[in-house]
Amino acid sequence: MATRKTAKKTAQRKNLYLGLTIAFFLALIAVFVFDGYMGIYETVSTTTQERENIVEPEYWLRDDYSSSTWTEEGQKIYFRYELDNRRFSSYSADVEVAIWFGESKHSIALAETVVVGSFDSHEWEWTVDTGVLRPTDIPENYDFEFSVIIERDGVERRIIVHVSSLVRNLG
Amino acid sequence: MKLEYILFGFGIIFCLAGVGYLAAQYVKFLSELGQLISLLLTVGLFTCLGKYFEGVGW
Repeated sequence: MATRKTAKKTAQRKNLYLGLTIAFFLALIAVFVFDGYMGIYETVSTTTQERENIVEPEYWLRDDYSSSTWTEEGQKIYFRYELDNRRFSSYSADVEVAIWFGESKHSIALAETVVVGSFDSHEWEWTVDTGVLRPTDIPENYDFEFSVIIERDGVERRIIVHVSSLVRNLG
Repeated sequence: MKLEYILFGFGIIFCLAGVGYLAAQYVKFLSELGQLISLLLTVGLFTCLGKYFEGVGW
């Protein structure tokens, strides 16, 4: 009788450990899904000359430095920046978008303090006209580059724009 | 018979390597708290799995 009771107890314990293993595994998957979804996510998209380039949030996690695009001189580039707050609390930040040539700041495209509600998003749009951006020290038959830097609470996202010279292309 | 076991062993190794690789890639996207909880859950998972196999008689 005692042996049967012990065997039953052992079987129950085995099942308990198996159940716990499965529970831990499911909890692990749940953490991966939940934590992977939660957070602050940014999407940057640029449109120029019928080309749309979308920089997904995962891109910044993989490559923390920069993204790049190109256009011809005189074309406008339409930027869209979306901040997605997937958290239970609201999120406030100072957002500044500036155009940089190397280490010098050329102009500020937008500067705003924003409060994004819980599980809400906020979107900014601005346009950069490459026709008026050529630095004076670069001849017209040379291409040039500038950076659009989006700063948000110490986080920096850089879009490098290569502008092809029209004079060189026509020549 | 032996060949079957060898192939079975290779299958298990490849499976674990694949899951390990995917987990290592995905773990980068988790927050520090998420990584800590995942680590604790993994320790708990292998502890219970070990206890289960011990009970089975391995």
